[in-house]
Amino acid sequence: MDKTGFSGFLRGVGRYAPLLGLIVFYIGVTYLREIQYLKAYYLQVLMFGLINCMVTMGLNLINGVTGQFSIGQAGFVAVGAYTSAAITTLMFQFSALSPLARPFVFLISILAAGAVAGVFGYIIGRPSLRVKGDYLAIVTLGFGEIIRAVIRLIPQVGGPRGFSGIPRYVNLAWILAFFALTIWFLRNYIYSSFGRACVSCREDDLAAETMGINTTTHKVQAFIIGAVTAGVAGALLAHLLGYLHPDQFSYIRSTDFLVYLYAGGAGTMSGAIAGAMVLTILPETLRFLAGWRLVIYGLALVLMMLYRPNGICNGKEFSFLIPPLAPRNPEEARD
Amino acid sequence: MPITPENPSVLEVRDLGIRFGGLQAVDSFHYRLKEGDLGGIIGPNGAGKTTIFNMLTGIYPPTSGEIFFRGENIVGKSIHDFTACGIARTFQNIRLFRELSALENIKIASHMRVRYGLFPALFRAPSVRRREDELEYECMALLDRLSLTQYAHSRASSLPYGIQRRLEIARALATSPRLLLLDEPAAGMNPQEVDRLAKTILWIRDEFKVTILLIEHHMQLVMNVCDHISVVNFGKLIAEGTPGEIRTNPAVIEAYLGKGGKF
Repeated sequence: MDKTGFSGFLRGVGRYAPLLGLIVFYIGVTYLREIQYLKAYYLQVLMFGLINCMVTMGLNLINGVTGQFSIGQAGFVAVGAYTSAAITTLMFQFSALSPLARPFVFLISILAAGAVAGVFGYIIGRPSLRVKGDYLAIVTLGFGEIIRAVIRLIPQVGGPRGFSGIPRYVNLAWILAFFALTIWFLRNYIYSSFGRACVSCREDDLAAETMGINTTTHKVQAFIIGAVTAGVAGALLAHLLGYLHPDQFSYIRSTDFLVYLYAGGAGTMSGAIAGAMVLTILPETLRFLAGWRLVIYGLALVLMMLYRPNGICNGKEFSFLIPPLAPRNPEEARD
Repeated sequence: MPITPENPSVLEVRDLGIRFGGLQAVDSFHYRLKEGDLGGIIGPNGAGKTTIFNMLTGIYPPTSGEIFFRGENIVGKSIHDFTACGIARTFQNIRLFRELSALENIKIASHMRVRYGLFPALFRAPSVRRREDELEYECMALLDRLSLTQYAHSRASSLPYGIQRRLEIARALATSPRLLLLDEPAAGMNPQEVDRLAKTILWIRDEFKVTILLIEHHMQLVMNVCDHISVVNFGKLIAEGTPGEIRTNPAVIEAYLGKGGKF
């Protein structure tokens, strides 16, 4: 392993290639937007796509990696969105803050959104993941609906009228930054002993226990991390839209995330990203079909499940989503 | 019972029993295993052997009795705590993580020895990278000791049957056990494979310094490798002794072959 020579230099650059790619992507998109080539609307769709990717990656950790079945991911997005919006809008009067203080306040609101979603994740995950069976699905479905009902009852956040006047502070840079962080953290988690424990829960619960793995603890931990991811994505969503309504977070929205995940390929982050991105953009590009749009969208899903049941990514992971030091095959192991 | 030089029991089972509804599957089972011993439990189908194993690994909580492991009563602990105490097992119907590679199976079993925190893992701190590197090395070394190196990167479900059995033993050893429970390790093997297995079991006992308890149907294997044998039938212990004693024990012959039978 030559770390000093030119190949070592290339290897060093290679490690940061995904990050460089992301920066180039940002500059490219911003430039295209500047010269008016990219319509504001498409930029908006792109940003929604990235946020959906984050939520789906969190869901992938729960459903794909750990093998549990959560169907209330939108509930955690709602918790995060309303928490952060309440902090920036109600607690701090964001627009009255000096521009220098804004990023800090926003950052705090994002962290709080993640934390609160995580606490909800614990409250829900702890009792329902201890027992085997479909309890988690039922409980998470109920949770999503309860959250929506409770939000309607809180007049401070607009109740059933919706929460308006949220500063539209989020731009592509914020979203890309958190998108990259999400990928990085989740990748590190999945390829650690924690992630392996999650996979063992998916593969064979009992065998995992006899390997000395406390499966309940690891399932709950993965569930919390998935919830935190959704909460953070919710914070970004709130400050991208500037307006929240409880009905945005219904079980139908939760189903969307499930569809993104399984269409992309559950179990891999590549699948989560590809599924969320493609299925966010596809319905928008089909708008010219007017009423036929959703028919074609549905048909595309059916065909994909028929001909590519393992999802768009076919269960494969992009190599940059696998951290180094874990050689996948003997050839790599040799150097 | 505490461990003393006079009483170096690794495992001591007293009056163990379990009832499923109206069925008393195991009744007042007594058992003792000394450090470094190779014990065997035999018995006809449905005699309650696997049920005993499931109680010894925490999978079934017994309805009566005590299990002392190295002097500590471990009844009531959860499955992973049994493993943490130092009891590892294989399964009658192999339960590898089928979709994962042999190496990944071993890595998962090494979980208890990988001690880094959640936050270092999330940030993939240098200490985590180092530990993962070492782990890779340790696991490959273990595979190598069991002559499984060539299968390291193959998916477990794609391996030949005998290799899967061997991998499952390797996986159990990766938890650094003091006591290794083998549930019908020879099931589905041909005579040559059984011969090799017998050698492997003896070798593992010496190489890994583990006490081994096995359940088996295969008489030849049990007679060849075990220091002493316990025979169960209808959930009860009916005989105990060295292979020679068991071979001639009338109660055993009756259980296996009916009255007037002969081995």
